[in-house]
Amino acid sequence: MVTLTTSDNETFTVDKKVAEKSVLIKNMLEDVGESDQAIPLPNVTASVLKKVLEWCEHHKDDPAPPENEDKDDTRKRTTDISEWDQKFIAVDQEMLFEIILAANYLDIKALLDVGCKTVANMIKGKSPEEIRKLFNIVNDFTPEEEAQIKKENEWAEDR
Amino acid sequence: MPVPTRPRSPSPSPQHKKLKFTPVALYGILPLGNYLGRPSLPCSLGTLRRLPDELILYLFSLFSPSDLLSLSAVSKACFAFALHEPLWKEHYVSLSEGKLGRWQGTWRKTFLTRLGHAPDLPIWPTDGISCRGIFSDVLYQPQLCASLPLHHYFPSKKQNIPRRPYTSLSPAEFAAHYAAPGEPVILTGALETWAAYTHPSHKWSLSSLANRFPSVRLQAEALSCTFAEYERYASNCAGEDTPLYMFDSGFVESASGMGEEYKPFEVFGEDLFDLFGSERPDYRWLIAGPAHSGSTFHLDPNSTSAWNASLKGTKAWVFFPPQCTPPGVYVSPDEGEVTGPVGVGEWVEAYLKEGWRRFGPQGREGAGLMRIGLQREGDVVYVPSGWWHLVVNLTPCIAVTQNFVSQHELHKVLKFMRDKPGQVSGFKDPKRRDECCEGEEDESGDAYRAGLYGRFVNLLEENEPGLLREALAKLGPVPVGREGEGEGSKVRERKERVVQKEKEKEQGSFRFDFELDFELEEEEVGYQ
Repeated sequence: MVTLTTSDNETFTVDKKVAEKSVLIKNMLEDVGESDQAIPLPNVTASVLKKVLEWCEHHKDDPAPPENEDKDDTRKRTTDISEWDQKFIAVDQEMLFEIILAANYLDIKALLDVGCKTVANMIKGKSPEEIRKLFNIVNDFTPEEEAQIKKENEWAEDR
Repeated sequence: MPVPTRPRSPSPSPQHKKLKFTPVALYGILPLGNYLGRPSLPCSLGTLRRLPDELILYLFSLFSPSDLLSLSAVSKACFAFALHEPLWKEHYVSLSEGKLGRWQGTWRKTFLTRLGHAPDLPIWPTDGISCRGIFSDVLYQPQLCASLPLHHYFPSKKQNIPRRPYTSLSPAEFAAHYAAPGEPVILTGALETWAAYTHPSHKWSLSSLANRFPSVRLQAEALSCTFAEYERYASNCAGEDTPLYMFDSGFVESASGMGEEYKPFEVFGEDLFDLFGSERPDYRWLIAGPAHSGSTFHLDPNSTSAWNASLKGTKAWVFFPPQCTPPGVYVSPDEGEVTGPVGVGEWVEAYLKEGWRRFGPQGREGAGLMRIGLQREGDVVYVPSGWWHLVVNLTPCIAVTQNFVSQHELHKVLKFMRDKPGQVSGFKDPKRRDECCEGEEDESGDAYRAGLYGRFVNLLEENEPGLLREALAKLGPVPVGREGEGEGSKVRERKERVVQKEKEKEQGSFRFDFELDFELEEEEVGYQ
């Protein structure tokens, strides 16, 4: 078992196999060796770590991704998220970003992918105005600049 | 959200000041450091600002071209990310059916003209859009590399590869001083007998070759192009940090006449791979590229040596001997996998000085191991077997290179083929060619590669028994752990090769490997 301490000082005790879904933790354990000491995770809060560990628990028996996997192919299919993962990641935007940041920090590639694909799917097919609303983005173009971009983008539309 | 109104000019680091160097700031994007002390945050990313720039770029890499265009219309910060050229290069390469076509100055514009219906314009509506107020290291880094004043990194006091006049160097002298010990050297004035260099109207340049061979197609990394298409690209790609590099192994066959206009140099000796006939790996390349193009650190395939003749332009060469891995480069224990900076500019900027301090003539860790030399027009560089080398074009260049196995590197090549059969590359298995299936990295390929050592020995036995005996005497025993290796280790080696290929794909970097053309034909993809 491995003990993890969050930034808000909660501790979680999990199977080594679950914790090692995180490459960061895996490397730490390899460097430090077996130890009863808790591993501090100063960049992750308890509420986020709970979610992340839920994902790691569910995926603990997944085979390691094949090294020669054709990335271009899998990348483009951004809607391709498993049903369980889709339910798992159906959280508010705040938590979604927290999970992405935690997955990035903990180095859990597959979870990072699930998070980024989910954000990508939110954006796909939307108009600029819809995207602004979604992420509370301020339009800082001048009207002239907006017109210039619009003109160029029309060239890409289907004939 | 307030937009900063007093844009600052870039504040170059002391090193850059000394070089009087102000990098081009495309659309006004500046490094993060310039943001320090500014009164207000640029907020045109909204809640996406919570993600670090690297993750935003990763997110943007998941989008289709039309989504990228929508994003570019959202805000200035989104515009800056959505115009990131590597994203558009990837889309262009995957949708252009492997053809460069008519270059429009950026990958995005080339994409919109070829695959959308943008008119062929010299100036585009969005060219004038300013992203002042956007601070991002990941967006700024490629611009920095693209505008590095490379020649400043290679002053004459930092050149320690000997230069020898070709005409006064006898084969015996070359063998004794350079080939036998394996020492790089630059031969000057070596091209006086080449029509490719001296012919008044046929001297090779992209424009003269474009006129003579208008329909010949050549390979520039993942894309094929005519000389004219490549010339158009190379003369207008100043924004590219790792410009597309023409590296074509079929020019003698496809452009009839070019093969007669240059002649390999006798001083380097015979090429024993000729014994393999049509199965031999590709060995001669026409190389062309703009300033800043080049190849990052690599070892030449199968432990061969090479010569490189510059018909036009100046190249800087950096060498490290076989026992000294260049700083910033990481190699797997069997040398099957190499990782390092993506671009030559990136390496030069980050590691050249360090390398010189550690391994230059006064190097603390190995004096004189690192070698630097400038190859000018008409010079020939000798690349000894097993030496790491990086080459960067300081000006637009055209060159011819050939790899070879002479008596001097024969024992090294034999050792490589015997001890690392999984890394042997480029040989053309007659069986595989016929089948031409995808993903033929199977046991028969392994068996073919593993058999090449024995076949080479037999060919040498028949034709060059004396050279074979000499080489075998120098060969040494099979390393421990390799003796009687079973299927398992072959599979592992194959895996390493695959991993290396994937790495190279990821890096989008130029890859020096005999198999390049072969694979492109087979898979008809290959953004490497």
